[in-house]
Amino acid sequence: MALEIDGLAVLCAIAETPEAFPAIRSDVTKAAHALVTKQLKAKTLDLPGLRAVRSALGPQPLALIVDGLKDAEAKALVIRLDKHHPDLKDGPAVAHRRHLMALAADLDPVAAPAAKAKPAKAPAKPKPAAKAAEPPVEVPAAAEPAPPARPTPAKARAPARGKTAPADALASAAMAARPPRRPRQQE
Amino acid sequence: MTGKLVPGELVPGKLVAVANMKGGVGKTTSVVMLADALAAGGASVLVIDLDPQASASVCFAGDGILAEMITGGRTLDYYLGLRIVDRDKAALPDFIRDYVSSTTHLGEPLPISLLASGPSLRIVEREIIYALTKRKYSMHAIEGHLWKLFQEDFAPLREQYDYVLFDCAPGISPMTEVAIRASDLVVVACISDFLSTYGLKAFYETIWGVGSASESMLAPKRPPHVLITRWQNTKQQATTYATLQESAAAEGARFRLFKTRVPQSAALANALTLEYQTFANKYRDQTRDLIGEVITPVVTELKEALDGA
Repeated sequence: MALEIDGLAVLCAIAETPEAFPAIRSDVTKAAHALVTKQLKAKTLDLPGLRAVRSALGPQPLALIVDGLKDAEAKALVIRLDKHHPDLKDGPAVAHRRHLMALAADLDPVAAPAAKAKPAKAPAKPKPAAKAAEPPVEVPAAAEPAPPARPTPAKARAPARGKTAPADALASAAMAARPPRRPRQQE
Repeated sequence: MTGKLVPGELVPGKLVAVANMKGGVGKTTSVVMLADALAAGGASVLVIDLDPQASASVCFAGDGILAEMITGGRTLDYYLGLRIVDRDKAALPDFIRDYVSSTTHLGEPLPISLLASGPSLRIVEREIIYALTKRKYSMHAIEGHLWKLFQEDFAPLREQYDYVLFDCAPGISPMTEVAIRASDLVVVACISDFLSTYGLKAFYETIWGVGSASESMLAPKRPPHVLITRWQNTKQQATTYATLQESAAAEGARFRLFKTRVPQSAALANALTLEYQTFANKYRDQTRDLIGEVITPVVTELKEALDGA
């Protein structure tokens, strides 16, 4: 005897006979959004997984759900799937979503890791000073190594556009702007 | 941008005025919501801001770009000053900024264009009255002059855009009145409360009432379509709404009522900021799916009303 419903079978039944479930029509859309969003945000989702989701849903439903991700979520996902892409970290949100959709459609290749720069050769050890033949060359003291950059605390990061109130509530470039004088404008 | 193409003919776009004599009833919110939704559905949309407060302009362009448009003389008030006060030549399309919205849908910017206004619109409208009165125009002649200008310069924009939305100023300025009368549909944003519906009566009498049309300006083509905004399920709002429903359903009803009500919603208030990147993010949050619950049905009803259904 079954102890639990077969969720997939129930969802299939709802999809095949929506007329039997009129009261939950809008909930179905919300649930579909939530389910696919959860799948996209799953830590286990890899590129073949993303492509499988696109193949199952079709490009437009996936694009609508990707549009519904928060900007930070879309960025985190695309950077996780394409770790070495040079432009993603600083790109705008629209570029993250576009690249995500291109990856899902297998239109853009995943960027290869950049070749590791060979460590610079250590400066040759200074030869022992010639015996009193030349004046000693003054070697500048090595600069102090810079302390490792600390991550900026979240509170100090530049706010996203429009997220925080301006310092002056009445500050507005538009309201302070004045139109140019019309060529025939009377005094 | 071009109007909607069908085989063999160009279907002219629709002019829609969003208006109410009362302020603070959600006119600009409705314009932003409708423009975003129509554009996300693939239509080309032009928003014409008739309000000197420039709320719709700043919602689409942002403060910095709007400031540029004002100082560059690329606003409605500058255009009206040139055309009517100074009698100079000016082409209206030159004052329109295309792809002004930063909102995207499916990876593309929404095809929304803007004819912005600025605070000087209030002064220019006054200048127009002074200038035309000086030229011995009567009040009717001034109305007729604005009507003619609208038909010559604004109405042809319907050939370029699928929808032209007018965000009307409260208080009904002369230019606003012309836009309302000449539009294919007037959407009256209205809160379901005593004062707002009282304002609706005054608005109706001014535009649609007996003797409101004149030789110089015609009556609007259709009765006003009332869109309930800022809906909260309180006893007072429910009672007022029931009265509106009854009046709209009565024989010889003077207005129509949208079935869908726009709720008072934080998501909708946030949609007026430039914070959100995508159409989906703008109108959907943890608590509400405004796209499915409100926007899609409102747009369907709007199209039905425009098609005369």
